Amino acid sequence: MYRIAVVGEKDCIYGFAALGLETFPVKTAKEAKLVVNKLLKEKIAILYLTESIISEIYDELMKFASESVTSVVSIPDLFGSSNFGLNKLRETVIKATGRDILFS
Amino acid sequence: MANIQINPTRMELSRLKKKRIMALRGHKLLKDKRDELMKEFISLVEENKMLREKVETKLKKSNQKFFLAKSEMTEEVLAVSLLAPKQSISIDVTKRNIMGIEVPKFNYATRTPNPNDIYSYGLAFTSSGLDDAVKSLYEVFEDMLKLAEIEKSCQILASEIEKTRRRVNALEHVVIPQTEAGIKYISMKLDENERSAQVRLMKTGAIK
Repeated sequence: MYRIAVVGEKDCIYGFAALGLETFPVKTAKEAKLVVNKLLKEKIAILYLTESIISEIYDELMKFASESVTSVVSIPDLFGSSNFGLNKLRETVIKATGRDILFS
Repeated sequence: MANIQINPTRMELSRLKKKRIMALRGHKLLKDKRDELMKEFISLVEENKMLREKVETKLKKSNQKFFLAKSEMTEEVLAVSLLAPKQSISIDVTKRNIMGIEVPKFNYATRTPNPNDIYSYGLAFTSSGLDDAVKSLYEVFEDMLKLAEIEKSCQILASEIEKTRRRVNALEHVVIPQTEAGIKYISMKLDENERSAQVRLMKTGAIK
């Protein structure tokens, strides 16, 4: 069975613990990198990361994640959404189709 | 193609002709695959966008609720209430097949069937704001799961489409024109040889 992990600032993620997800509070992106590297070696199906963390380590993360079953998803942090996820989605669309058909 | 050395022989000619037919067939197949993938991808992407917007607004609301709940009680009480969750969720990953490409499908299972097990604390020392916050998070969870599934599928499909598109283009703009040029070159050369043989024979008087 696979598990779900949530990594981010403590204030944004402690609620997920109540649902039964595994939470890993971190303060900096550097700390998050260590945690995530460890997590990617385990059986994690979904990895939720807060936007402020994921924006720092995204490229490195996708190198690993694209080869495994793990789905990496950004979630908004306490400051609200910075549209990080939508921007990445747009990049995916451009990669596949060659132009931005989603937001035009 | 002038820069590629081809032996002007009949063997080579028939080899190139076979290669051309194969390339044309492959090109057609890959083009169909690309179009079909693109159709799937676009509908997935639209769903992805919608879900993400929905999840983000819902999460924002739930974050606000948590923030309020936190202000209504002390940090220690809050930490203790969420320290030992009753519920735990595990995920079962199955595969879904889109045009021969496997994308993940997540099914979740809760450890206990009781939906009220998300409240892992006694109600005496916590505010009702916390209940509300936890409930709002629980409601968005299912969408978050779906989002994770679709986002991963989109990424996999996107890289597959990119690969297929590159192959289609390589066949269309490189392999097929090159083979056709080779075929033309060889048939010209062979014709030329035949003509010169004819002329030589005429000159020596072997034929009139």
